Amino acid sequence: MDGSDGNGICFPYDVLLDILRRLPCRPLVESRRVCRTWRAIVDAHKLLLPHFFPRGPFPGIFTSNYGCANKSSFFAPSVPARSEQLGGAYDGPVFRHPLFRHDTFSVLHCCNGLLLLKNRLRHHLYVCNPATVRIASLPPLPEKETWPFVEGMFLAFDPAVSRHHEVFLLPKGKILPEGRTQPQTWVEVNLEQLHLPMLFEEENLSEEDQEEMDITYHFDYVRDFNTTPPSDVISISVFSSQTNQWVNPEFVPGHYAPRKLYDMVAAPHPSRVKIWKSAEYWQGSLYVHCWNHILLILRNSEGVYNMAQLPDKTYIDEHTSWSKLLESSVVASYERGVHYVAHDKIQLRVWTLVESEDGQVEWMLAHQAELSHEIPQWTEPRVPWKAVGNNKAIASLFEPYNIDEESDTSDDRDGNDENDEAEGIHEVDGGFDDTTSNVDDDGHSEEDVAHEDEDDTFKSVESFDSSWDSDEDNFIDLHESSESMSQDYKIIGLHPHKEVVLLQTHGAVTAYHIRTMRMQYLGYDLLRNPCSNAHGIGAAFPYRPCYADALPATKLPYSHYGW
Amino acid sequence: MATREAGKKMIMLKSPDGMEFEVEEAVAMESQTIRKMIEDDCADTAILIPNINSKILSRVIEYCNKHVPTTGATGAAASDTVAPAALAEDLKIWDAEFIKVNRATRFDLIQAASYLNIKGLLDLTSQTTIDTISDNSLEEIRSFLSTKNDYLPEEEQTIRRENQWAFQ
Repeated sequence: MDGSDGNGICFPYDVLLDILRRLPCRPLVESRRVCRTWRAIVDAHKLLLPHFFPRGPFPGIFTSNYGCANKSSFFAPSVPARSEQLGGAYDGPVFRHPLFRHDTFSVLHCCNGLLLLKNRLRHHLYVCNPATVRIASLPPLPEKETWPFVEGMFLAFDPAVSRHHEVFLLPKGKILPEGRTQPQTWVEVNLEQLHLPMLFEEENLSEEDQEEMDITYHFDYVRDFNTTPPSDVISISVFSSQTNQWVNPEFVPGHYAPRKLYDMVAAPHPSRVKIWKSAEYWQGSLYVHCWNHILLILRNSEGVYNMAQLPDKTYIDEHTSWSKLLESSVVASYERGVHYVAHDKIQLRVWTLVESEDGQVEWMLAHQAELSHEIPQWTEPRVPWKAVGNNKAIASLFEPYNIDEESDTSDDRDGNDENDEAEGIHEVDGGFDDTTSNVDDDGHSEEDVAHEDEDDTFKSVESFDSSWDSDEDNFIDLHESSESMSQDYKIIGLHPHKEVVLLQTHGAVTAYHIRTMRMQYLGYDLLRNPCSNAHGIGAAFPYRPCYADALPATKLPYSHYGW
Repeated sequence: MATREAGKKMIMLKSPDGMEFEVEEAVAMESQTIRKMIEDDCADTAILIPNINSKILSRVIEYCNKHVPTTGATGAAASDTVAPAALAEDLKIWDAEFIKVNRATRFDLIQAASYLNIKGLLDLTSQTTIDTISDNSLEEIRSFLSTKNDYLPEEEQTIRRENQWAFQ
């Protein structure tokens, strides 16, 4: 302990850790360059994370639309005319104008601040970070994948682990690798049974049935190992920004990958049903919500997958809704992990995924509440959320781009003037409840400790008039409503760092606060300008800005984007 | 624990180089480590403080002596006569003087504060180091901490790239 052993540990480990933890952002970033030991400490304890994800106001929700003029939109707090009061105190991204052409680009997926975009015209794929205003185009897809129907394409990005991102492309129509044949038993699978949530009720099967099933599966495994490699592998195309290449790894079953679940996913599916409904990337694994009520967990680093049935017995696969927001969905947030949220006419239920070391999966019912009440006269929120307008200018993401030239055409396409009055004002926080997050968080000891310290940083934001006191404004008390009526709620996702479920109901967006069991309206018109009878939101992604990525700092000339 | 006298109970602290320091129990109990020893009844005779030489130990005791009344550990705070705010201000100035020591002494103080678990002293010494790291260049930090740069040039390049986001 003489302070000069040359490896940077001049202090007891805990002391050094504490010192590093208390460093401001830039010195902390630079401290990674001092020596290996320091970098190891910074990375091992994820000390940079609060700086990657500053606890600012929740900027908004990206959506992917169908049957509309706009392929995508960004739904965010509209702007009160008090921009000058902000005085630059909050410098996080508050997008008042589209970052990219909403009529051209659809948002396929969103993960920890990165967006996966698809150009409708040229079918190019891009990964962009709206916060750092950087973008990279993906190389062409592996040959066997065909355009234009990209389904099951998901981003994986965790800045605490790596600045690099990955894109997973799950196979369409078949999950077996090319050239492999399905095992005999696959053909024999009774499809009628597969559609039922029978696995949760296995105890109801007669012992005989049970035995038969076990034997079949057991036999299946034995035969596979004796002849060819196991056939229940899943072949996936994975792009890594580190190598800038697509590769085709095969994922083999982990400890908890029951063959019957694999068969259920691999079974022929009605054409209007998505096999891969959605996915969330969390702590190195991609959690894919598959059809037939199954969760597929892909661990890329180990090349294995696990599977589990989703909770909730009342599940019915939504065959007719190829691209709608679902009433039940696997959702995740960085701090809170993976959850399954389901709304069934009356009940909203939230399960928490609990995974053991070796991959065994359990679902814990974390919350349930009745959302059955007829909505009273919807009061206008003080700061209503709206789809960000397309009419003035495109923000700087795709620079250099001649904004003036293009603004006219996008105006026309947008064709919506009712929101225009707010849009001359730039960059103001409309304030979801984050601005008052302390109010909510106080007294709840299990609130994430890791972020406590940054709350101070953003306290100053609270004082602005434009901030919205979520505890006062526009709450509907769910317990006092007299009349009951089932309400159609679709799951948008989790608030990035609060215990709030974002829901869509009849074009409006609400925020359900799990702790207080209160509902809050954020705004209406999630979808604008439908141009077809079949229109809606295909996917929605609560957006959380992230300031770290490995995207190229130099922007490509705009011609690359096929305007 | 034996209570031999009605007045202030004294504790004997010994440094490894043989020096002995007699301090009030309340002062010694500024250190959570020593407090634990006293409470566990292991402190009837002198307490040996390993790793901390007499020079540093005397400074630590000096710090504890200064800080003991305001923490209320004794129950006999001196704040009857002095306004608490003025007292706090006074302590702040005193702390600033106290920490004006050379690098080696400061590191020794950090280690001592860490071992003896004296939160105020640890905060004070750490904060000074945090300021040093924040205000100096990479090379200055390395030389200040006697740390070698053990990166290969290409590794350094990679980290520099990784760090870029913070400097945009």
